[in-house]
Order: sequence, then structure tokens, then C-alpha cells
Amino acid sequence: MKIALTISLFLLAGNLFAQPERVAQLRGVPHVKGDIALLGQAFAATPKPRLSEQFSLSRENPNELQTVLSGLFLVYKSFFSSQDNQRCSFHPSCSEFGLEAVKKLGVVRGIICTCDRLTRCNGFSPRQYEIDLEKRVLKDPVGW
Amino acid sequence: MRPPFFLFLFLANALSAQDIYDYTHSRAYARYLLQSQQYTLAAEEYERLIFLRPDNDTLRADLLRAYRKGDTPQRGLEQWAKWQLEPRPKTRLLYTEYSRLLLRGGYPDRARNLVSASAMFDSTQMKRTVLYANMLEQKWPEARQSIEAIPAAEKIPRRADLENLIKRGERSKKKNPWVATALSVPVPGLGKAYAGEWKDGIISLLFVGVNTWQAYRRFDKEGADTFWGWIHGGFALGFYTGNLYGSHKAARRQNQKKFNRLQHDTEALVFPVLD
Amino acid sequence: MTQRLLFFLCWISAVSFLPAQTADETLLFAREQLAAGNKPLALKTYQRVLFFSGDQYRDECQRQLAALYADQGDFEKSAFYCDLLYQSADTDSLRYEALFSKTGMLMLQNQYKKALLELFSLPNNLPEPWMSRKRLYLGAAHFGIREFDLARADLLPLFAASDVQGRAEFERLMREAKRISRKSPKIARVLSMVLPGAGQFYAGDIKNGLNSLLLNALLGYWFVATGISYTFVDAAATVTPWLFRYYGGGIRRAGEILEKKKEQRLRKVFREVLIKIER
Repeated sequence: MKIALTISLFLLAGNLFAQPERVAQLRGVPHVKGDIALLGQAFAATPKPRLSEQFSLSRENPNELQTVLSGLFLVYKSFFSSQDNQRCSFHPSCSEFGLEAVKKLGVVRGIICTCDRLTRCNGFSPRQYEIDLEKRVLKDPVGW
Repeated sequence: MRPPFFLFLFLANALSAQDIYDYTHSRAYARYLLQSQQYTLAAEEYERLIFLRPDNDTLRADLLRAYRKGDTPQRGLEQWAKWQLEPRPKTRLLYTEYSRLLLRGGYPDRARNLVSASAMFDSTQMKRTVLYANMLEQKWPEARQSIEAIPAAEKIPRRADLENLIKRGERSKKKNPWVATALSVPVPGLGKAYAGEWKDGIISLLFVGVNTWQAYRRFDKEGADTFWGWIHGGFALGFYTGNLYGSHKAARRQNQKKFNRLQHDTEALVFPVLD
Repeated sequence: MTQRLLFFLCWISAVSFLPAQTADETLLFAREQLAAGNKPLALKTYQRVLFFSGDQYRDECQRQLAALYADQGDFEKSAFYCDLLYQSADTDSLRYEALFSKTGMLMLQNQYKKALLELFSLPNNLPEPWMSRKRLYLGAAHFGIREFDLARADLLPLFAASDVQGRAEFERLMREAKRISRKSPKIARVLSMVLPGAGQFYAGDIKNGLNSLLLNALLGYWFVATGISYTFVDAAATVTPWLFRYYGGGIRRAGEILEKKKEQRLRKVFREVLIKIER
């Protein structure tokens, strides 16, 4: 009887020990540890990604033609597109579309697709396309 | 030994230990998650509950419901395939939920077969499922027949809207992409106008026209060794060819858009009234 | 006999619950997962404990959920749990803690005005360290909405009166912030109108300034060359659209660049202020 009681009490004790202390672990929450660190994060500089990182397609060049095209694309993007008053109404933009089309569909079909796209990039018929809500432009992916 | 001591011991044990992962607690939690529209968490909870009670069809129906409402009907269908319920006697609750899941998951044909083959569904349920399946498949004449087969006395939700949508579906006409291309051969841009993108058609005509005119002027003035002549000529050819292709694509795009719009409206109308 | 029956009941009650998982054990499990770095599971487990344990572990659960969501970058959800904690906390210190956390989450979303509203709900006189923290957050929020005089008044008491050098450096930084914020995008645009690229130079962006200058010079050369070898009507027809795009673009972008540069430089100034305060 006594042994059984001891066992029983022992088991009960185990249950009681399993209860965590109420506020013991409240300290040391990561984001309130340092107000300064948190505010430093809030006022952090916003990094600007490099163009070749932004458009990873321009880095995959299996042949010389594509290397030249990607180079032209990057030159256009950094020295001309960055100064332009107008903004392409689509995503991907016309230059990205051209690069992607030639890379995916080949030179002939790529050029035909891009010519068609250039005539459509006029901003007169925004209702013909789906809207990319995040980028706030019209969706027009490459495809034959 | 005094009895009150034992009583205390008993109560202390019973109160201190409350298994929040056991069936009763999990069921309450799952029901709360489902009702508060936290469908992903609810689905996880029901998966665990079904593990605890493998043969409970109510739980299964709730799980399918969580997957359907949580916009992951595919997961529900996978789960269904894993259960392999076919030889078992069918319960109406579960199979009703399954038919809804099929409609939601993009298999209206299978939903139609299910309700037509089984005697368990009553005629209202059967007619409604067939109607929804026909609409989701955009079979408008069939949909017209199925909605007319339901007498007005039988109340179905949003009947007027469904009828209007079917009318819209019957009226919508498709454009032929090859006609669009052919029209663009004599007059650049005409095919796009036919497809319904007349503004783009005008721009195409302008692009081809201006470049051709410029090329003609330069060749006329300077003969064959003009730099800008060849450039404008190249652009003119590019835009002309691009427009032939673009007209074809414009017609296809417009058809797809009409289809998508009808599909979107059908889904927006049908999915909420499934249950 | 009754004794045996009672004992049996007692024993059953103890044994049957042994493998069970109680809210307490689940909380321990959540803590363990958090310590082990398994944050997604810790988050789910805390949510479960919060649902089942009622008020018992509410504070800890809400606080950890806030921290876990902040860690995931979901500042909005984090602010939501901070709010819950604020409303249910029964000590002032925990309430302040929750409020400061929420304010921080709002500032991480650049919602400085909302952060200010939160801070205004604090009493005017607080014991340390709450008063200093209030000043710090108020200063940051005022800096965020570019009220530099108010920010200065908030932050200056954080420097000891004897710390003359620190105060002087702080004053200098605040003057610099004012100077940066005075630059106007309108002036940048006008400068770019007069000379392409000048507005960009004014904003401090040499690369884009040179880019704009060269591009417009090239267009000008193209215009003259076409005019001489063909006619100036031809030149106008060919070059004007491009001039509109790149000359006009330079003007518009000068303003945009200035705004961006201003924001980045002000943020840098505030980070320097934070370093000074940290010392």
C-alpha cells in the first residue's frame, strides 16, 4: 500500500513539475532586446540590386550572339532606360521581352514577337490585359 | 488513510493533466479553425483527427471541406484517392462533399458522372450538380437544358444570375485567328481591328506606313547605298511580319479573354453556392 | 475495500494522463522548439497553447507570437499580437513593453504617424527606463515624419548634460538633417531644365547626372548632323521624339532621384544619431 502510494505521489509530482513557471521565460524576446537595434533596422538603407542580378536572364548566355544581346540589353537598361521619360506599360518590359523572346524562341520568332509587342506598347488599350497588381503594370509574358 | 486525501489526489491528477492533443480537444480546436476560416490550419488538424479516428466520415467530409474552402482542392482529391473508399458503403454526407470538391477542383465531368451513377443523391442535388458542371465546362446549350429541367418551385440559389450567365455564354462568339491574319495581309492592322483591338491596329498601320514611306523616300533619293533606307526598310518588314503574327495572336487572346471572363464569373457564382 | 477502490481510481487518473500532452507540456515543447531554432513549429505550437490555456500563458504566448511574426518579417501580424498583449497585460511594464514593440513594428512599415499616435497614449511622466525609451521612440517617429525640431527636443535629454561633445555632435547631425530636407525637387527639376544632368548633380547623383548630360549632348549632335546632311525638318521629325523622352525624362527623374537620395541620406543621419545615443 505504501509503495503504491509513493508511486502515485511520484507520478503526480511528475505532472506538477511539468508546469512551467508563469513569467520565467518572458525575458529575452529577440525584437525588444534592443530598441536601438530595432530602430536601426527601421531606418536601414534600402539596398539597390545590380542590374545583372535583377535580370538573371542576362547572365545565362550559351553562345556569342546571346552574350552580345545581353550586353546590349544591360547597356540599354543602365544608360538609356534609366533616363527615359516614358515607362513601358508591360511586365516584362519591352527590352526584357525582346531579350527573353530571342533567347527562348530563337532569332526569327523572337524578332517577330518583339515587333508585335512594340506596336502594342502604346498605353491606349490597358483593358485588354491582366494587371500585375504588385508591379502596377500590365501582364504580357513571352509566348508564341 | 482518509478518503478525502485520495479524493484530492484524484482530482489534482485529473485537473492538472488536460491533453490538448486528444480527440475531444483537437475536434473542438479544428471546428473553431474551420469556422474562423483558417482553412490551412483546420486541414492539418483534421488530418490528425482522422489519424486518431480512421473511419469517421464526418471528419473526412470536414477535411475535404477545409481543403476546398482553403483553395487547395487538389490536396483534398489526393487525400480521397489515398483513402480508397470505393468498396465501402457510401455515406451521403461524405459523397456530397466529394462531389463539391470535384466541381471546385476542376473536374466537373467527374462530378457529373458521380451524381448520375449513384442512387444516393436526390434529384435536386443531381440536377444542381449537373447544371454547375455544365456551366463550369462552358457547355452552354447543355446548361440551358439543365436549368430548364429544374422547375421554378425548386429553389436554387441565385437562379436569375445563373440564367443571365448562361444567356451571356450562349451569345459569346469567337473570332477566327486565321481570318485575322488574312485581313492583315492587304491592310496592316485590319486583322487586329477585326479581333477587337482597333487601337493597336491603327498603331501597327502607322508603324508600317511611316517606315515604308521613309524607306521609299531614301531609296528614291539615294539609290541602293542608303544607310537609313535599309534601316527603315528593315523596320517596315519587321513590323509588317510582326503584325501578321500579332493579328493571329490578338484573335486568340480575345477568345481566351472571353473564355476566362466567363469562367471567372461562373466560378465566382457557382463556388460560393456549392454548400 | 473503499481504500483500495479509491487508490485504484487515483492510480488510473495518474497513469492515464501520463502520455497525454497538456497545455503546460505543449508550452514547454514550444519553448524547446524556439530554443532549437525551429521557428515555424514553435509558432504553431504557441498558437495552440494560446487557444487552450486560456489566460494562464496568454502573455508569454502573445509575446512570443509577436516576436516570431516579426522574425518572419510579418510586421503587421506582429503588431496585432503586440496589441493583444497590450490590452491583456496586467502589469504596466508589460503594457509599455508591448506598446514599444508595436511602435517599432509600425516604424518598420514606415508608418511613423501611426507610431506617434501609439506613443501619445503613454503618460507624460514615466519612471526610468520607460521615459528614456519613450523619448527614443518619439524622437524616431518625429524624425520619420521629418519634424526635426520635435525630434531634437525628444532626443536631447538622452545625452547627459555633462556630455558636451556628444550633445554638440547630436546638434550637428540634426542641423545636417534639416539641411538635407531643405533640398527641393522643384529646384532639381528647374536645374535639369536649364542644363541636362544639373538637377542630378544637385541631388548628389554624379553617375546619373553625367549619363543625362552625355545622352542629351548626343541627341543634340544627332539633331545638328541630320539637319546639315538632310534638312532641319527631317531632323526635327526624327530627333524630337527622342529629345522629348530623354530631355523630359532627365527633368522628371531629377526630382525623383532627389527624393530618393534625401530619404537615404536622412536615414543615414538617423543611424548616426543612434550610434551617438548608444555610446
